[in-house]
Parts: sequence; structure tokens; C-alpha cells
Amino acid sequence: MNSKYYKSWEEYKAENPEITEKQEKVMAPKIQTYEEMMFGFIMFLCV
Amino acid sequence: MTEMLALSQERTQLFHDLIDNKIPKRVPVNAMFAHEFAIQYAGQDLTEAQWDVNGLEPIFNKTCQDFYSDLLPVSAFRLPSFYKILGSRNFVMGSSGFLQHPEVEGLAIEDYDAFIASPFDCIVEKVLPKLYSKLDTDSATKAMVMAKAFKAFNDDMGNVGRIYGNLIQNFGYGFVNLFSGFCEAPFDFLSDQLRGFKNISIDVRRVPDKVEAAVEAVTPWMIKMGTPPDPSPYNATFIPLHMAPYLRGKDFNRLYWPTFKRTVEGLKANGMRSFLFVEHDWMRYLDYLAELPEGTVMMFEYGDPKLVKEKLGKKHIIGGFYPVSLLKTGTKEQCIDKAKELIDILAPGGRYFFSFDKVIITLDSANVENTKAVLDYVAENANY
Repeated sequence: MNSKYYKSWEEYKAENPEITEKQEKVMAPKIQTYEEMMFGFIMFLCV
Repeated sequence: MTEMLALSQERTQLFHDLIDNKIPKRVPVNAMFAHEFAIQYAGQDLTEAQWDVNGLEPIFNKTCQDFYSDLLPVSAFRLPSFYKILGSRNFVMGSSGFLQHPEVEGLAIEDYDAFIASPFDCIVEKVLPKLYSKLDTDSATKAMVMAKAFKAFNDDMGNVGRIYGNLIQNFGYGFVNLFSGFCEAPFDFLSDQLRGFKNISIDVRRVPDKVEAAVEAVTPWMIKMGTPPDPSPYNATFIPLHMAPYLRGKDFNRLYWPTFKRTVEGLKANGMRSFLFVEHDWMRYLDYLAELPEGTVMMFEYGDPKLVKEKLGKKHIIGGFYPVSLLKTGTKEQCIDKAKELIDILAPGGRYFFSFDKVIITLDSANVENTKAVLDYVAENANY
């Protein structure tokens, strides 16, 4: 999934090294949900 | 247990048996009406009612009350709010209030290479500003427009989802969702809104290598798009099939089939069954459809139901074929006879659900009394 505009959690975390393991547990599902929602919206606009 | 919960469980069982390759108690019924039909049937104004999503609940309620179905029969796929905010060129409301889809070109021919390099980046940077006029502007304004549209989309879809939940509970529909995900065959995705029908027809002759590379590049994105966060073998990803009947056999072989097959297989690997709307006439491609993963759901628009039963009926789940046009022009007796004819051909051995050949999208598409009579007939008589 080569894209500037869609990031997996691992890619997001690599860009934000300040995120601790403790934070990651609560942050990851939320941040990734928004990523998926925006991806879904953009793709919907093309069908 | 409430009466509606018991009904819901019974209807769920009909579809679980269908999917598990068991003979259900009765032929399951999947009636499908678009929100435009429901609005007109409720006597509301299409140009206004689509903007008030909360107001769709009593409107959908009336369709659910009057037309039999084992699964939720109404849906709202396209609503005007976010299209309007974005300045949509690909979905534009006509004077009747119906969202029309004009021929568009979202992807210029010189942008094939950018699309092949990164389909999603190309969509964001080049395709969206061509399809949506309000995104063809400076980056700050674009961000504001996108934020408003995203909010409108999620508000509307969230409200529609809440209404679906209420209707399923209130009418005791089955807990099976054949629209749990959505994507397209890669070639259709490239054709429908990106290159357009006219351009893609030229591209397959003039730049087939580019077309092939583009559909290859977008295949993983289609699989991702069609995989919902909670895959279930009893739900499905809806894939409407568009362009194959318009292609020459050799172009279908090279440019359509390989990536479409991989998309369906990829969804299966991710835990999702595909629900194909086999639009137009696919009779020359039945042997290809037979290669798809077992238990793929296929709703046929046209073709020979006997041939489909023979070639696909033991492996896949078949529906459709019932002509909505007959509901419009036939007598009640003719309409019921057609249902009997299709059930006699398609029901033996199971793996068949009753549905019309397409979603009923407007009130004038069908005679409502005929429609009710056919759905009631199947629900009351198509027992195994």
C-alpha cells in the first residue's frame, strides 16, 4: 500500500516516535479508525 | 423472546442455510428498493426528503410495512449533502430530485503513469479535483471543503445506519448483510468514474498495456476497500459488475478477468464472501464465473436461468432474473406465473434466493400491486 495519504499504524508510529507503549494501546485503534474512515470516504467518492 | 426477535432468527436461519449449502425451510426473499423509490412511495418530494436523513425513517417504514422481504429491503447509497458540498460533477441532482451520473473523466490519459505508480495518491491529487469542482482550488480551501464533506458523509451514513438498525429490529428482518462491504472489479473502477465509458473503450485498443498496469495497481486497493473491519462469512461485499459485456473476449481475458478474480479471491482470503450484481448479459462468461470461490452470491440481471443453474447452481448462490419490467407491464397473474417459473428452475437443490433482476429505484419502475403480490406469493408458497 504505497501512499503518502494512507498510513498504517506502524508507519504512523514510525513518524511519531514520542508515542509510548502505554499510549499506543489506546491511541492505535482510534487513530487507525480515522485513517480507515477517510480512506473509505475517498474511495466512495470514486465509485 | 419477542415475536419480532423470533421472526428475525427464523429469517436469519433461511440465509444461513442458503450460505451453508443446506436446503432452507423456504426460498429466502431479498427484495431491494432504493431510497428514491421509498420517498416517492411515501408521497414525499425527492428534491427535499433526501436532505433530511432523520426523516427517512418513517419513509422507509412504509416500504417495509407494505413489501415482503426476509432482509432489510431499503437502502440509501447516495445522498446529496456531501456531493453538493464537493461540487460533484459525477453525481448531479436532476430536476426530479434523482441523482444523475453523467459521463465523466476523473483520470486524464496522461495521468495513467501516476495512477500506476500509486493509485491512491493519484486519486487524491489528480482525480478528486477533476470529479469535484470545489476541490479544484488552493490547499487551504480544499481542506475546509473536504472536512465539511467528510462530516456530512459520516453524519448521513451514521443516521442511515441507525435507521437500518431500528427497521431490522421493528420488522424482524434477518441479521445478514449482503452490503457489509463495497468495492468494484478493478477494470470497472478504472472505467466508471476515472476514464469513463467512452475513453476506456478507446484505451483498451490504443493503450492496453497502460490499462493492464492500472488494473493491476489498483487490485490491492479494491480488496482493501471491500474488506470491512468485521468480516463475517454470513455477510458479503457487494460488487456491481459493469463493463464485461461491452468487451471483446480477448480484452475481457486480459484486462477484466484476472484482477477481478483476484479481488474476489482476496476478499475470500480476508473472510468475506462476494455478492456480485451480474449486470447486463454475462452468458458468454459463465465458465469464468464458475472459477470463483465456492459460495459466491450472484444476482443476475439477464440471461438464461436454466443454463446458469446448470453451470453455476451447484457451486454458487444464485438470485435475480425476475424482470422488474414485467412488474410494470404484466397482469398480476402473469407476474406470479413468472415467479413460479423461476422458482421451478432455480430452487431445486437450494442455493437460490428470490430477488428481482435489479433494485427498484423509482415508483414508476414497477406496478406496486404486482410487486406486493409476487413477494407475498414467494414468501407464502416457495417452501421446500
